[in-house]
Amino acid sequence: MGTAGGSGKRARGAAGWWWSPDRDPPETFEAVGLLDVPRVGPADVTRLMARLRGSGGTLRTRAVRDIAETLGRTGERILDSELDDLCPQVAAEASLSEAMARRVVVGMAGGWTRSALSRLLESEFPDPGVLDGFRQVGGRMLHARGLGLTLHLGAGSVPGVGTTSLIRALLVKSPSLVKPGSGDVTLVVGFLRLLWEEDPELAACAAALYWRGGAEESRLLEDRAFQEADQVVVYGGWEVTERVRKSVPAHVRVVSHGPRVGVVVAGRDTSPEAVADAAAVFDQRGCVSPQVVLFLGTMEATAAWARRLHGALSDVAVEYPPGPVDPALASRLHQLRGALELRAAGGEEVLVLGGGGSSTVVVAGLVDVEPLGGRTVWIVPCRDRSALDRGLEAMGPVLQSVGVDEPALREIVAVRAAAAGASRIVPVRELAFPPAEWLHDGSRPLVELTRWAEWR
Amino acid sequence: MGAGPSEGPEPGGAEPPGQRPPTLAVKPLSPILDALEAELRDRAATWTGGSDPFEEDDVFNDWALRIHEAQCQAYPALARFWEGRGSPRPGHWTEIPPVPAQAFKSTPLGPDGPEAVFRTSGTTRGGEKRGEHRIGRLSLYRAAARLSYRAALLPGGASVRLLSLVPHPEEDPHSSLARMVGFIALEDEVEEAVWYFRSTAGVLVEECRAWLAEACEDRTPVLILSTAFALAQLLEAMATRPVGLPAGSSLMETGGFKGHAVALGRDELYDRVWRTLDIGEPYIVGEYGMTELLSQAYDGQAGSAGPVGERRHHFPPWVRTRVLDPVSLEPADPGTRGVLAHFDLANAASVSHVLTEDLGVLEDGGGFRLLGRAEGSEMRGCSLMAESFIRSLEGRR
Repeated sequence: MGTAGGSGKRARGAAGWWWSPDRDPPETFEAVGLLDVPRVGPADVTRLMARLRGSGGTLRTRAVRDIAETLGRTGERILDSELDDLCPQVAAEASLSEAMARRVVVGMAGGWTRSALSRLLESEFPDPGVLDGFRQVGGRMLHARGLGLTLHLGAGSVPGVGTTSLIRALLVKSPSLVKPGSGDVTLVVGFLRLLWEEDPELAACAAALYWRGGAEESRLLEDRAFQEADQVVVYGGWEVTERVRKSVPAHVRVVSHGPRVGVVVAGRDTSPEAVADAAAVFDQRGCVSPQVVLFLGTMEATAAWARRLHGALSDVAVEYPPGPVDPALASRLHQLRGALELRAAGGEEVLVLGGGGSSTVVVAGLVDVEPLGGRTVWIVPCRDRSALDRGLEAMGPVLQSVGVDEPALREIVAVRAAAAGASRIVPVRELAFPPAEWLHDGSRPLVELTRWAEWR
Repeated sequence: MGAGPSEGPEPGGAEPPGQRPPTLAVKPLSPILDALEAELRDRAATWTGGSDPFEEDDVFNDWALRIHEAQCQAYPALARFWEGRGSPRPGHWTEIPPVPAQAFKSTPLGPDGPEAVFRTSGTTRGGEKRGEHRIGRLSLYRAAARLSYRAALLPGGASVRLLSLVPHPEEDPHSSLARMVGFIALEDEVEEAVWYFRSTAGVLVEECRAWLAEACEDRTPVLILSTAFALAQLLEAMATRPVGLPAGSSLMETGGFKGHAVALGRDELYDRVWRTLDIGEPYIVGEYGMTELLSQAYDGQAGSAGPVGERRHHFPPWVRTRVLDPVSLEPADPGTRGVLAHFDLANAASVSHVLTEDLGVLEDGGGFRLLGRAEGSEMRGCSLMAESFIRSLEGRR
């Protein structure tokens, strides 16, 4: 490991920062949760971002294949030799069990390997050399350039999101500052340290700095970072994404990845084990994790399948225990469970299984669905295909991935889900970890970070 | 009476104390409601917050079990709910599983043909289901509320002029708070009552300013009843032109700032009250009430309330509060924070044992310290959570 990052005067927590060791290290730190975070002001942010912007010249001289090779080698080092070091810290900061943290890191880093990044480049650009200079593309001379400086703003606790975002920006040759989410600092900092060992020149084009998002004292830092960036990529809830849109100057591009919901379309032959596994990954914090199952069948068939799903969720919890229970979530689940049990006692067709332990399964109408996370799966019975269509259409604005296994349903669901707004229709077992080239929120993840020029 | 919809029927909307309702809305519960109402009314003239037979465990438990039995008979769905939770014949009130407050949003709780229906407030973002509490007898609500508000807000029996920054009960008949303010306005000590808050317009600042200026010329103390949010609005508007209200003036604030862009800590709010209205901290009383409960807790007595950081909320003795571990729902260790569950005998016509999402700590000397709402942790990702989901699907399902 390199010497930069967390090497300041306090050595209590994990490093809440990284930048190239040939630059001045921070001198004072404060503890924020489990992290040691440098005490910096807006002027420090300006200096850091100016240096990053200055590294863009070097970055643009590098061939994109070379950058992808180096980033891929770094990603593979995480998989090959760093898991034991990284995973306990990831588990602690993201409130995941160690087993789940390891699963998440392995799954996310699977998209950071040389082969994955090569696939990503080729799926986005017929000739990836278009990122190095003008190339003939469809009879036109085109050149795709990453923007001068990208700020990545993570607001959640899904490990790996910040690193994926950073890799995408570096692939299009945009120097980057990453403000990771509170549960995603270790992977970003760890990746940058390894990258520095692999290729100090490339690593000098990126930095990471954690601050507490939304906190009053962080606003000045955030506002300054918005001023200095050419592009802000933001991940988080609507409150965060809306705030960023309002705060970023008009000339700065905002790429927003707001919250979405994962859905499974199931029938009696759908494997509850596969759905349980997909729902458990990230403890259901990822937008690809299914929160809702549209079940094609009667209430009786739905209830029977729900019981199988609840059993499968319990089994998954043995291998991948949930993280520490969040008291607020536990309180919400008690409220939910009691309210639904009372409705059931009143003769309504609702069913709730679990609720106090590692998972909850609810059978109820779409009108009742309240995604809560914490491995809570809502099953909506759909008596026929038109009910299924209505369910997909209703969730259209927030649909992300749709999992479907039933052969008889796959084609029709793909057409209907895409029409409703889904960006990914896949077998249930592929839900949790999309490949590097996935169409994130319906966009091409590299193309959306570039600006194109034509030479005639 | 002052401006606003205060003309016409009595603002409390219920029969005056001492008169019995002509019919009983909830027949299976009638005997217990009659008995309980009589108990509470007997206290009306004398109770000032001191000791009370309900404080005896046996007395409280006997009442609680009788009410539970009556509720089981009146509401088969509730009986099945409790049975499903493995508690068909409890021997102690703590064995009766609390009904979550959220159940009020999905199941009508209370009798058919209620005298009133109280609804929880939605957030400003909307899209949220509103809870509904059907009130079998407004007279019982009044009796339960009255003993506490008299002790907390009218402790000396001196005359006051009342300014309400809560809607008039005619304007918002589904607000339990508005109804309670209506009851207070009927008290003998209240010489005059004005309602200067409109649901559509907020605080009527100019009317408030003029009325308060006039009140300053008078020696009669003022009693202001307000939500914290409306109070902040008034203080903001009057910040540059503070007034000195007559000695003995007091204020009741309730509720928080959930869903509002502006939020003040209580320290700052109370400081602003002092600087703007000349009402000192000992004269500011915090009320804790819920649509789902007919009794209220107060954190002091006007004129002698303690420093805001040291205050504890106290319910009247016919309410028992427990702090439960939010995960297991087992009683939390003393001094440990947890979710609050209240058993309110005055809720006899609907459901008495209510599990809230409010966090608190029980204190050794009695009462509880309120710590706000159990908020979601930072452990969020890119998956959509309930409020956003409901908001995005509004009107589409």
